[in-house]
Amino acid sequence: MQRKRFIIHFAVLLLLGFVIVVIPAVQTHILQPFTESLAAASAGLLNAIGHEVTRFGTIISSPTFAVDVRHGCNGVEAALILVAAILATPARWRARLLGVVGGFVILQTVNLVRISSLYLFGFYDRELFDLFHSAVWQVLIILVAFGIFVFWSVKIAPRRDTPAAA
Amino acid sequence: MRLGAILPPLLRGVAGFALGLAIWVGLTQPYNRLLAGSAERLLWLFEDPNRTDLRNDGRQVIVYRADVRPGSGRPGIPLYDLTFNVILLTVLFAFDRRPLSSRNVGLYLLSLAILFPTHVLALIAWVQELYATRFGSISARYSDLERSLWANAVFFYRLVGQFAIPLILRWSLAPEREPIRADFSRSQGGTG
Repeated sequence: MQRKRFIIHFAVLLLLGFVIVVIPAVQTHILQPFTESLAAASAGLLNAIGHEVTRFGTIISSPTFAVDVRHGCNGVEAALILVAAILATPARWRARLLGVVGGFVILQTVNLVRISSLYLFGFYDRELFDLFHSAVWQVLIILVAFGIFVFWSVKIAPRRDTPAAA
Repeated sequence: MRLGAILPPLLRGVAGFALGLAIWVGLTQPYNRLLAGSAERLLWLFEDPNRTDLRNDGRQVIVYRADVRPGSGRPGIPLYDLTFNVILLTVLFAFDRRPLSSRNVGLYLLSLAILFPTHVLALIAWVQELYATRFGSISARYSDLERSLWANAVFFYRLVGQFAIPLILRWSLAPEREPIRADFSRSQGGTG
């Protein structure tokens, strides 16, 4: 029963999160600037390790290769899943807030590595880029979100008389 | 959550990832043919005469229509974008404490069987989205609401749906009372 309730809440919250994401104002005023800042941070990281790249909007480019950071690469999908799972779990709001904020920071740190590594894969080997872009990193980032959720549900959510997660 | 508790499921997850990737890469051609054929036949149920012709070119499905003149641009749908969640599903089932038990393997196969129709439906939605937006006079027959619905259906699947489906399958079918925590917490004595 508890599991069924968790799954229904998770699905409804995910749908709600999606509805919020597709609102044009959210896209324009939140997601676009956020994605641009993510691209800027990735470009900074690449420059720091010796790759001379420039960033324009969401595009990171050099004379030989360019990547455009879009939906699916900005980590929003993993964040939505993490937030929906945390909010669907019975826990104190403080624990939830900690999970959401901390999880988001970890996810975006990993995502920074993802974007930078994808640029490097594309720079050196297009086939590796295709494989990592279309499958490997997409799965890994969701598994990172899953791992954060598991850690949160085991270590943080149960404290202070909360019932079992999920 | 000590390292000793995390390591076994983590190693099982890595093995599951390798297995999922091998399944996905190895079976992608026959699976894509099956997927395109199934979606095409389902689309025919709503067409009279049958017009949709989905051709698998190896990397994507090219959308042909009998009532569109030859020489027109043919949009393609990258099928890998629809089907890679099989890797995620495999990893989630590999986390099980007894991944090779007949029960876990049976549930995994059942999940794969459930995943297939979701791939077919996602492909149908994507084809409809192309019809609604990229096929000139055919697109003009779709209302703004229909266009928006098909576009959002595809966006939802690609943004979160394709990831949520394996998670929900795992959480629904896991035999443990606490499907999320059990695999990670038992080895340290259980936490609830």
